Amino acid sequence: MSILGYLGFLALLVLIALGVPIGLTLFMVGLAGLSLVGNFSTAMTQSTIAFWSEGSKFILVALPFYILMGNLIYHMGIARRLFTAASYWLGWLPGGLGVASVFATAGFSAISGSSTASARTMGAIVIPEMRRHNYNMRLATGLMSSAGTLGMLIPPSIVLIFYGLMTETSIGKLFIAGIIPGMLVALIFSTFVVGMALLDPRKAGRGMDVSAVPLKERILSLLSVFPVLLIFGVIFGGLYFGIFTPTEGAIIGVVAVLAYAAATRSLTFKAIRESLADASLITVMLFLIIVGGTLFTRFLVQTGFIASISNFIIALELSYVQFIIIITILYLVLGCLLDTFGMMILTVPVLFPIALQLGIDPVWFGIYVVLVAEIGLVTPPVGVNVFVIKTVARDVPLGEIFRGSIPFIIAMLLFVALMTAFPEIVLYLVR
Amino acid sequence: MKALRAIASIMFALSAYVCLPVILVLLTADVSLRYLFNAPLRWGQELASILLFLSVVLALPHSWISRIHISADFLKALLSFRVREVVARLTWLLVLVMAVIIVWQCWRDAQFMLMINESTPELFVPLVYMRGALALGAGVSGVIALAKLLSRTSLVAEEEASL
Repeated sequence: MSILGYLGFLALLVLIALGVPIGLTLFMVGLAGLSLVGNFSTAMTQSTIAFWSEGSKFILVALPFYILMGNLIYHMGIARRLFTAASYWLGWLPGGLGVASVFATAGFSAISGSSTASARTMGAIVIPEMRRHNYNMRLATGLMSSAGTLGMLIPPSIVLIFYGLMTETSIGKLFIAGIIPGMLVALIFSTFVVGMALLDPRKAGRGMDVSAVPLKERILSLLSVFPVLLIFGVIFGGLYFGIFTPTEGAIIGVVAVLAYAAATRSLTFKAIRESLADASLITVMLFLIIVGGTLFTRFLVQTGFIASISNFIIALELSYVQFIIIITILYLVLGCLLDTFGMMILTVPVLFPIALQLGIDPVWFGIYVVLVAEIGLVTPPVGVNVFVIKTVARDVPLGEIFRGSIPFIIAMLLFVALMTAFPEIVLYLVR
Repeated sequence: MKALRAIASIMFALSAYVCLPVILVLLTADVSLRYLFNAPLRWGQELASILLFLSVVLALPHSWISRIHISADFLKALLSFRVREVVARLTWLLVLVMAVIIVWQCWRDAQFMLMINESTPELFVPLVYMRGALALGAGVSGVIALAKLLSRTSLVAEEEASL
């Protein structure tokens, strides 16, 4: 029977490689597979049941509202204020503008759930500024492509919600667990920027003359980012102390952003309409992947495919570290071919049970998967963030942006090694 | 195709500009009542879930037209125009097959649900309405897919022109 599973998996890979949408491929291959394993009538019944059971899960309500929150923030101009404040306070460092852009992106990520949105928004603000200060464009674009990935790690993260839905891991715990790794990755990125600026000062162009900015203006810049800190604090304070659920957190976040926008008149009706439309479309796209993934996973389970792969890997008697090294390599390869959601839907159903058998914490594994999947956002040929950054730095060749990302890919791998050696980095806040 | 686009747009408007804002208002009221007066809306979460389901199925046809669904396009540049055209038509054929299966199954489910009067636990909304909405979303998607398949113009050229 498991040969059917292998054939199904192969058919899935071929259709995805040809460019058929991932959700549709999962749905159709899953349905065809279930028909072959059982019968067509049962498979058909599964199709509508999957739509209803997945689509009416209350936790799924969180998805459109975290996307909506990020979209509204994108239209409000908060990103520029974050960058201004960060550059006033961190601009004195070697490569200070780069360090400021990492922390501004981390701040933006704390209220936006999408990596692409973080790269797009911050890149459009930061890259022209870095160009004005004669920064090396390879460093600037590589840094911003990579810093954008913080959007996936620092909660609220759409990918963490996706992982939580797939594995039934607590989304609240995943969000809380993402905070320390997100901040540490930002810190490592900044250290790399400072190091590069020290080794070759020409790369960091003209430094910022922060002393020319009056103290009053610097303090005011901090006050202007206070709403971001407040929204982040309310959501994560609420989650951490168990006051509300991730879904309620999403609603409270949107209401807080709308209230702030109303007070400052920073949102137009058109921006709200566009944000709603985008949230609705992205939710449908993710929903189809979830439904298709449900059918496909049921098919794989029925064929014994997942059990046979799990048994094979467990029979290898890999240690925890060897397992992590192998799947990190697997994700690096897949990251060159698939986007984050595609990668996760193909690998998590197979790897998650193995990870549990090896005694790996599901929350830790979630953060790990998101982190290594993020690397795929900056690796050729489908590094989405690189393409996003290319739209704001049209004169910089794609190859140059990819090369610029290499130090930060190394930084992320360094962090993977760190969290593998010290799992408490991830689990400290959730224990 | 113009009429289909208009139908898909209306359904999408209901999804994005009616369902989502209503969920927002509903859950804001629910959360406020829970924390301020310890009196949550008992049916709030169920209604929110139903509205989310409606939002998703109503946006389905527009999602196909707007090509929001993610695909891996690393091979695309290497494929000839002819092969890309075949893949584009295969994609719409799969959308059509999926739509036909869902509509057909919704019809089968509906008969059974009407017989046992299956409904949601709190609000007692007959589940047959949900299958109706799903059939509508899938049906319109299927008709769009059929129109694309019958179209004589190149789907790849059309796709490239819209970029």
